[in-house]
Amino acid sequence: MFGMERLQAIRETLYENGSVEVVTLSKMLSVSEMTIRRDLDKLEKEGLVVKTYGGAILKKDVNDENAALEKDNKNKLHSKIAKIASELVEDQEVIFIGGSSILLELSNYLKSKKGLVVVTNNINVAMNIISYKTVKVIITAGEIDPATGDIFGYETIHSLDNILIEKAFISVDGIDSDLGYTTNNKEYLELYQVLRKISNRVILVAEHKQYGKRGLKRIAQLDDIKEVVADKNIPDMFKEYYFNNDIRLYASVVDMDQF
Amino acid sequence: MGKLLAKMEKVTKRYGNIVAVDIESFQVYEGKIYALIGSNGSGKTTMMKILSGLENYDSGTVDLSCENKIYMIHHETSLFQELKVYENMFMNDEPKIGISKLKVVDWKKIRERTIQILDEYDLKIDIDTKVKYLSVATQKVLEIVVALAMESKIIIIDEPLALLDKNESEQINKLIKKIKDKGTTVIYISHRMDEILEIADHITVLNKGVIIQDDIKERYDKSQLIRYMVGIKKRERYPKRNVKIGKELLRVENLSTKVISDINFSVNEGEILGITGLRGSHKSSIGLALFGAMDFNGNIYIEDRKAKIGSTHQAVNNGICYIGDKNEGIFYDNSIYENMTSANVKKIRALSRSAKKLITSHYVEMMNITPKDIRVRLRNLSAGNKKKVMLSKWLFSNSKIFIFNKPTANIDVASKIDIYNIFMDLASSGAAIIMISNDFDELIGMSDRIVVMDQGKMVAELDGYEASEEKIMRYITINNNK
Repeated sequence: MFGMERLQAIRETLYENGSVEVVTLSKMLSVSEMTIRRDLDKLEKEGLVVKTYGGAILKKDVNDENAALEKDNKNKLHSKIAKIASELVEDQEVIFIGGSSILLELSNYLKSKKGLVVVTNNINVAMNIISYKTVKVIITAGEIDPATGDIFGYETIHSLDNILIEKAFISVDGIDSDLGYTTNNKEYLELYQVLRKISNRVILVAEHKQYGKRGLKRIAQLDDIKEVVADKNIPDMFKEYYFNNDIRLYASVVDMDQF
Repeated sequence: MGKLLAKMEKVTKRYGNIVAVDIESFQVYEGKIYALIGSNGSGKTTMMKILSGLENYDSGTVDLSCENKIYMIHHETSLFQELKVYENMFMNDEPKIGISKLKVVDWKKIRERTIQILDEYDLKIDIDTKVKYLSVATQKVLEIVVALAMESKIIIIDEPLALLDKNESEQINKLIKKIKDKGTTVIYISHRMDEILEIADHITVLNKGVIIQDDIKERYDKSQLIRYMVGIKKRERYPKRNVKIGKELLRVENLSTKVISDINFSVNEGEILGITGLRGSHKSSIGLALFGAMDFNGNIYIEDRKAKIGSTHQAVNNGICYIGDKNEGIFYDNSIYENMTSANVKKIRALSRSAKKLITSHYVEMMNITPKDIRVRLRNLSAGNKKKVMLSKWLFSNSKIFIFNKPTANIDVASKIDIYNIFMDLASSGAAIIMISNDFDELIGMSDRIVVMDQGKMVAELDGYEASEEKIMRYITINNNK
């Protein structure tokens, strides 16, 4: 057996059993224990195993670890963005918060606002805020999508009929220099049109990963939305576009909490 | 209409990606007074430098049918202070006497010519006086006389009335009128609306390098001019956030230096104080004094305790830092790492090399500084990135009072936005920011309060939200007319 094949065989054994012993492998593969030890060295360098006395165990959380780390970073980023967005909210206001993971984070930062009325079309956002004593929650009518918690339907638009909103915090799926702001959910189009009409300020809350992505349907042109809260890593070309077109970009740069 | 003396057609000039001027068409006729106005950075000076041959341009044509007798008088003096009045005349074209190789300067002729011109324009200046003994106004007059002595057909004057009081301004304007009567054209760049309306025949308005109106004076009205002079409102693009204002961090009482006097203001935690004024207002001195880089009189209180700021070292130890527009404190031949760790504070001196390296890398990442290699020398960084390195250096040393002089001048847009957002982050964490700037848009967009300076004195303190470019200019104009 050649080296590559042998390594593959060891990998398969590891996946099956979770661990291997040098002695067993050496017999199984008809090579010296020295050779097996060298193979395990290679696999350890790959990050697949951790060598133990007499053998090795599968570093099975490798992918899980990475995923968890990425999720943690994503949450941190969303928290940062959400915090800045929350600074735009003042006491005694009627605001709208849409459904997205960043906007859900935003609802975490509203505890200290007094006399706030939050209108939302997302059940998770609503449940998050309901415990706050100083915030009133109004939820739109419609059907709940169990996957996202978003509420949409014929009734949704009309349940907003008599409400006037000071600031509407919305999110999108894609931000592209040609297509503009896009969504994968066509129900969002109508909702956005209504929000534009009834809101004093429409504020987009986004993150850098969304830039360059193209969703299925356009919600708005790039210069339709005058305020954007994002992170500092959005592409320079968008920073330039926003500034040159009188669009505010709130994007925290310095993490002052570390000082 | 007199003869056409000069013409600019489709003239453009760029600095990298930035358009300095893009002039569709501009004509200059004989015997008229042209006023060129526009907000700071609108391209007025660049346009005139191109017209007078002092600056290159990238495309278009500049036609001069005045035998190149076009002379530009800059804002800064070009007279030799130690030389006498007549010795400053004819510098480039001295009349000579003698035979071929034995020619020497004909001083007799120069003296005669000088007296002749001074008489012609009714000017009582002693030609034997050294220039340094003449007043600012008289020196300006003299610069105009130099242009006249060269038989200029077009004289361009950049801000003739800056630094002059009402009487002195009248003097200059009288002279300009006389010049026009004798058939010479004057183009002058100015901020002073009343003077412009009084003596100009023709007004040209520039904004961002482009002519937005070019007409005889009668076609303009005063309020329109004020709006033009200060530029178009652009508040909407500045990411100003609501920040909690804390206790008083800095208080300045009776601050004065050689060029400023009677300066009083305070800044609290979380506040952004703008300081503005036109050229000659000496606003930069405030920053330099507070940073211990300039001698001053007056009292400075940090967190309500009197502080001694006799040197920059003391300023830094009091939590004050200065990020200037002339790249002060930047060591071009040193690396990002060396620059960032160069503040002379205990905290940094106490760190190990590896800790410093780690923290430097952290800042590079956080501030989006490129390139990311901390060994790269500062001279290889763009202006915006240099500024971020400076900022990091001071953040690293725990400054609490940040003084910026022209924070975003000549910086790419993406970095500008990063810097404004950094201001907000700093304010959010309880720092105080003093922003000295000429950019009215950014001042109004970002400041909580604005101090307006004119000729070394405070002429107004405005709330950020009530401030407008019009208001700022009015306060300056009022002071000038006193």
